[in-house]
Amino acid sequence: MSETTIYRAAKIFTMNPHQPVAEAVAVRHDRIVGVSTLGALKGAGKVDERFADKVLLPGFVEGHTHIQTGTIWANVYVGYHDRLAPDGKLWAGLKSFDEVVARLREVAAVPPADDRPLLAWGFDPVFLGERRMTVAELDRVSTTRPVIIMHQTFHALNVNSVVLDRAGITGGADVEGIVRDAGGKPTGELREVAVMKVALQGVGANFNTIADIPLGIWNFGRIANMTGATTVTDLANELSDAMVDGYCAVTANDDFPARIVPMHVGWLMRPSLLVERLAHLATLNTSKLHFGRVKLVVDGAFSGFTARLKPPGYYNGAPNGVWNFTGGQLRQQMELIHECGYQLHIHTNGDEATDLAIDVLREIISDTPRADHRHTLQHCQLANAEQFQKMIELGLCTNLFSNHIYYYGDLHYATTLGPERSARMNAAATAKRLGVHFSIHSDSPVTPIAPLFTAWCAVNRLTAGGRVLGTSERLSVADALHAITLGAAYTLRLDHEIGSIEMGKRADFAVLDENPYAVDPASLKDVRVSGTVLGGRHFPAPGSPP
Amino acid sequence: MSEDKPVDVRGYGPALPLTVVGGFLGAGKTTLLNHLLANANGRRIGVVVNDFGEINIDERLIARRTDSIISLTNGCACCDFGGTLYDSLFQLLEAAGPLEFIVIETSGVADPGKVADVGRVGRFFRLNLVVVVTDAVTVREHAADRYLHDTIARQLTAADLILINKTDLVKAAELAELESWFDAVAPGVARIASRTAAVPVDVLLDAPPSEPLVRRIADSEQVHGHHAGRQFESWSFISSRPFRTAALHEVLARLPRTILRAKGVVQVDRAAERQTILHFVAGRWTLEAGELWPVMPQTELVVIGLAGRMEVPALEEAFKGALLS
Repeated sequence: MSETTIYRAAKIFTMNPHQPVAEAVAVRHDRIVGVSTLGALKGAGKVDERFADKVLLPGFVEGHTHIQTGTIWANVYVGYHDRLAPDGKLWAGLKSFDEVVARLREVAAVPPADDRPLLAWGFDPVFLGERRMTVAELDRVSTTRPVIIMHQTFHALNVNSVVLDRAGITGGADVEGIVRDAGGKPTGELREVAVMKVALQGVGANFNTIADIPLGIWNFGRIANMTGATTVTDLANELSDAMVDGYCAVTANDDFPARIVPMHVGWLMRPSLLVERLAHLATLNTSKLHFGRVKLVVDGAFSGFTARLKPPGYYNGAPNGVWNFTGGQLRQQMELIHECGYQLHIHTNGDEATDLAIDVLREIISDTPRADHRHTLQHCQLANAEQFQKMIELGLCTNLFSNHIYYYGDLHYATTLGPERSARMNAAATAKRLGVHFSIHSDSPVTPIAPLFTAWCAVNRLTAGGRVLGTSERLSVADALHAITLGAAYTLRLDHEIGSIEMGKRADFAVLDENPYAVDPASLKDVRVSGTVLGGRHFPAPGSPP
Repeated sequence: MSEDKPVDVRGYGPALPLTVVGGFLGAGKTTLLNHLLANANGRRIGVVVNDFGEINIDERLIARRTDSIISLTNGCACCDFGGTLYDSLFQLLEAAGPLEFIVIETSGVADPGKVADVGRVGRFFRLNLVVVVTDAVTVREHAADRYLHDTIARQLTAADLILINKTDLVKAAELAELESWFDAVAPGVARIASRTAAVPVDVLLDAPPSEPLVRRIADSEQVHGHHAGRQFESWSFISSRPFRTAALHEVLARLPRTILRAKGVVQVDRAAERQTILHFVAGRWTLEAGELWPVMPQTELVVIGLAGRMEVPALEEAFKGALLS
C-alpha cells in the first residue's frame, strides 16, 4: 500500500463548491484522498510542510495550445515581450530594430560560422512604431548567411537580401504579399503563405519541421510547468507514427511534468479511416496522454485578414477572409466522428465561421442526437449572446481567445474589428451569464502560454497599448480562475479526473507564491508560479527554490 | 502584368510552368485533370491536388502514366503552419527526374489567384494559366449562397480562363443567360464552354511554340467544340523586320483578355543579334534571350485566342506598328 502524504498549504482553493477553501490535501499515489483542515485529515498520513507558505489551486488546464510551444524554441526569440524559454531562461523583449539585429548578430557569431539559415521568431513590429523593418537591418546580421524572422502572428516574415536573392524574389511580380519601398523594390517583408513559402524554400528552411520530436515535447512540458499548467493541449497534430511514439515515450517518463491532450487534424484522412485511427490511438491512452479528439479549422485569423466575418466585414474594408471548407464538407468530415463518440474541436475565429459551424453541428446533432458530446468551438472570438444561446441549445462548449485582447486588441480596435466589436470580442462575461461551458486560452505559441496571464486578460480586458476593451465583458477573478481549471477540464471531457481539488481526482496542483483571489485584479498576471504537482509529484519550476 | 523573369537565376534550373485549376466543388476540376493526364502524351506533369475526403483521380491513369507524379495534400489557410499545399509542391521539385509542367488543383473554396502567387514570385515556378472550372447548372446558385457568394466571385475574377462545364445539361436559352451573368460577374475574362471539362491540353499547359501546337488545337476543336463550334483560333505573324522592344511590350500589354496565348521567336532591336523567345499567357509575358540567329533573323509569332473573338486586322495593325520602320 502506498503511503499517504498530507500537504499543508497557506491556502487551498479547490473549485469544489462544497468546500471552496481548504487547509490541507491528502494524496496517495497520484490521487487526492482527502481535502480538509489539517486537523480533520490528521492520522491519514505523514504531513508535508513544503507548501506551508504557498497557495494551491487545481493544476491549470490550457485548452488551446500547440506542440510548437516547445519546438519553436529551436529558433531564436526576437519578440517585443519578455518570454520564458523551456530552460527557465527569461529572454528579454527587444524594444527596437537595433536590439533585434544585435541579438541575431550575437547568435550568428557563435561558431561554427556556416551558411545555414538563421531562423528567428516572435517578431512583433506592431509594438515597434510606424517604420517597417527592411533588408537593410537584417543585412547587418549577415550578407552571406540567410536570415529569416517569423512574425509573432505567423502571418509574415522579414528576410535579408540573401534570402530574396536565392529565392529569386524581385520587385517585378505584382503580388500583394511582397511589401515594396517607394522605388518598387521588395523591402524584405513578406506576407501571404505562398510568398513566405517561396522565400523559405529558396534557402531550404522550414519552420514546420520538427527536428527533434522528444525534445520538443519535453520543452512543451517544461514550459507548462513554469506557468502552473498540469494539462496542456496540442490542438492540431497530424499525429504521424513518429509523433505518436514520441508522445507515448515522453509522457510515460515519470519526470515529464504534464498531461497532454493531442488532437488529431480532421481533414487529412477520410472519416472512415480517421475513426479507425482514433480507435487505435485510444488504446495508447494513459493518465498523462489523452487521444480521441479531432480538430477542424473553418476559417483563418483576424491578423491575417483571413477570418470570416459577418457583415459589415473588416473595419478597414479589407475583403472578407477565407473558408477552409464548405458546410457540406464540414458535415461530411464531422458526422462519422460525432456518431462514433469522439469529440470535435472546431476553430472558428470570425462570427460568420461560428454561424456556419453552428449550422452544420445542428444538422449533425439533430440527425444523431448524442448526450454529452461537448463539441467545442475554439477561439469563437466574436460570438455574441445569440450565438452562445444556440450553442447552449446544442450542448456546445467554447474556448475563448482572451489573450488576443491584450496582444492584438489595439490592432482590432483600429483596423480589423473597430471599436464596437473589439469591445465585445471574446465575450467571456456573456458566456458566463448565459451559462455556456467555457474556457479561455493562449493558442501558444501564437501568444505565450500562461494561464494566469490569460485569466488576467479576461478580468482586465486591457490592451498592450493601455486601452480597456469593453468593461461589460470583464470576468470576475473567481470566474476567470474557474475557466482555466475546471472550465477547461470540462471542454476536454476530463473534468472527472482533473480541474478541481477533490477526493478521487488526480493530485494536480498549481503552486503559487500568492493568493490570486486576494491580489489586486490588475496584478493577477504577476502572481508567481513556483511550480506544479502532477499526479502527486512535485515539479518545482526552474529557478524556484526546491 | 509582366515580370522579366530570368531563365536561370544563379545556376538554378529554369522556372517550371505552373497551371492552377480552381473552381467550386463538383464543377469538374478533377475531370479536367484526368483529361489532362490522359492526353499528356508523355509529358512529365507534376500534379498537386489540394482537397480532402475522397479524391477521384483516375488511378488507372496514374498507374499507366508513371511519368507524371500526383501529390495529394490539404492545408488550411490559417497561418504558415497550414501551408502544406506549398510543401507538397516543393517536394515535387525534388522528385526523381525533371518535370516539365506543374498543375495545382486547388480546394473547392480556395482563391486560385492567391495560390497562383507561387508562380508569380520567386525562381521556382512561372505562372502559366489560372483556369477556373464552373458548373453551368449550379454556379449561379452557389454564387448566391450566404456563405459562399464572395468565394465564388473571387474564384471567377482570379481566372485567366473560365471553363463553363456541363453545358449539355442546360438549355440554349439558359446558357445565353449564364453568359451574360458571367459578363457581369467576371467582365472580360475569357470563357469557353464544354461538356466534360475537356480543354485542349496545349491551352492548359505550356507547349513549345511550333506548328503542331496550332494543329493540335485545331484538331481538338472537332472533339470539344460545342455550341460555339470552334473554341480557339490562331493567327500567325511573320516579319523580317525587328520589333522596337518598348513598343512590343506595349502591344502585349494591350492585348485583349480573349487572347490567351502568344508564342514565338522574335527579333527585337535591343538584342537584334540573337533570337528572343516570346511567351505570353493571359496578360503575362516574358521575353527571354535565345540562341544566335542561325541564318537570317525572322520573327515568327503565333497568337491563340477565343474563336470568333480575335480581331485580326487590329492585331495585325498593332504588331506591325511595333516594328522598326
